[in-house]
Amino acid sequence: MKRTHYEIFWEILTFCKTPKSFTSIINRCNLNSKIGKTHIDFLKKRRFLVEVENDGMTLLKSTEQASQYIAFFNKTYRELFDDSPEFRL
Amino acid sequence: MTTNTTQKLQNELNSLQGLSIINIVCNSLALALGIYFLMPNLISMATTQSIQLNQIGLVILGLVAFMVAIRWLVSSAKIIDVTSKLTTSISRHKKSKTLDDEALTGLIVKMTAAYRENKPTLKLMMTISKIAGVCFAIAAFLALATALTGIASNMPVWSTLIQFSNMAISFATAAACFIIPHFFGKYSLIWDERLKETAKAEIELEKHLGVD
Repeated sequence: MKRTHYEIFWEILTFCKTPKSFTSIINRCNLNSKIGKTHIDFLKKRRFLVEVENDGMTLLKSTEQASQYIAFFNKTYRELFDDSPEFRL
Repeated sequence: MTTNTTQKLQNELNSLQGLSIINIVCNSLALALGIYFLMPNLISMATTQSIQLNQIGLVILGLVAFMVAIRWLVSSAKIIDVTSKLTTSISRHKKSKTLDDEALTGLIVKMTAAYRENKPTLKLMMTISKIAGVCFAIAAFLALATALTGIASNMPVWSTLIQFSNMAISFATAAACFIIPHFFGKYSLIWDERLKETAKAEIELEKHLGVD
């Protein structure tokens, strides 16, 4: 699927509301490991994702800062869809 | 708000699915038209061991119609696949009562991404549909001409009736082939506008990401 970076970021951040492993993120968000790593590194650098330790495993979790992005994204896409005319036969 | 959005999503998907089904019906008729021109002429050429110029023309026309119809069928199947996946996703969320704000946004993102990906397919389908419409209109006029010639030359009534029904089917299909691109065009127009708005929203999203 052709998604923009912003849509992919939203998918990763939403999925990581509860801590997730790198593999589960790339599987769920349908990314290859190279692209997935680039996106995750970007989000970590911006402090939208943080690493948490769980049973010796390093997982990724979205931060409070990410919640603001998620909320703004939800609002924008919903408005965009709701305010446009409906397609009907 | 959530109910309205869900209803709108569902309506749009149903309409697109309906349109794709009408498209497949026309498409099958185009396939039949291709075979109708191709096979009898090929068989006749093989059995009589002689080739006439008009037969070659009809074989080429049939072959082109057949190949275009196959391409058209694949494109239509692609659209049906996308719509059914999204419909299944909505139903699953509804069933498990998980259709919250985030799930809805996810569906909107999926629809947006699906449109972005299938935009060329839609455009191709619209073009093929218009070409098929012209072919069916020609076929209808040919059937009409044959029927009128049949009346003038005292052809059996059943044969004339077959030509008239052939003409009616071809005309109806030609009309459908011209109406389908109109609706796909309407769908594209709405989604192109939405894509334009997402592009505008990206500036704000960038700010939220802290990108300079």
